[in-house]
Amino acid sequence: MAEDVIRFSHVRFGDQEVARDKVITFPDGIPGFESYKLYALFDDPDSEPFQWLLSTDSPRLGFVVVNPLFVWPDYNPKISRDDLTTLGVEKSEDILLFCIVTLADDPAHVTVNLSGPLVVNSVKRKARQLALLDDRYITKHKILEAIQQV
Amino acid sequence: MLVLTRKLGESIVIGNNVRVTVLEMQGKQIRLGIEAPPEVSVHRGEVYERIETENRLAAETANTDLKSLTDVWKLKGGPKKQ
Repeated sequence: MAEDVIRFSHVRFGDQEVARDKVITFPDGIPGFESYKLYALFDDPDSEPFQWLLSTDSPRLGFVVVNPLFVWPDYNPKISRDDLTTLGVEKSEDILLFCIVTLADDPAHVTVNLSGPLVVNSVKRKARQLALLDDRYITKHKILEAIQQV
Repeated sequence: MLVLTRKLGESIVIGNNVRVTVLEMQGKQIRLGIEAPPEVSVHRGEVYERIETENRLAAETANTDLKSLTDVWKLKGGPKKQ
């Protein structure tokens, strides 16, 4: 019988395991890291509301992510029908949305990429990073300013 | 890089399921029509490159300390996780 957990290791969080049915697959990878397809969403209570998207294939690959709606409640990326079809989304409630955070030593310089949201089908655990054609959103939205305005 | 010359209305076919057609030419601008199956993502080159660059930077800096930012969040009583 196949094991129901996948064990992986990460430079920051050490040895970890994730239930096989919780692994998120990016069939095309993430632009810049196309060869890594499998990720685990990792919660670190000290870092809320941020979460980590850790590659289960490389201990050095991980992204800090945030649900953009926590910080930008009006965030409304257009997800095309083609993207929904590819991800096998049946109901919009099944969609989870994350944006990648680019950290910096100075919190005032920490930015969030609202132009390339990660769309996850939470049922099928399939995901893709979009590249929005929307002038409202750029790759570097300062999060500190936004938090202070929420 | 493969270089092909096409006239207005002509197209190129990539693989067996992607077709790119020259629809309109006006000065320095060319309008292209792209027919591709839904699982093939089509992006404007510069948008895709910007996202790729940002992803690389995000991955390189992912181990930076987050504490000062989460502290601000807590201080603000930041929007609670739903």
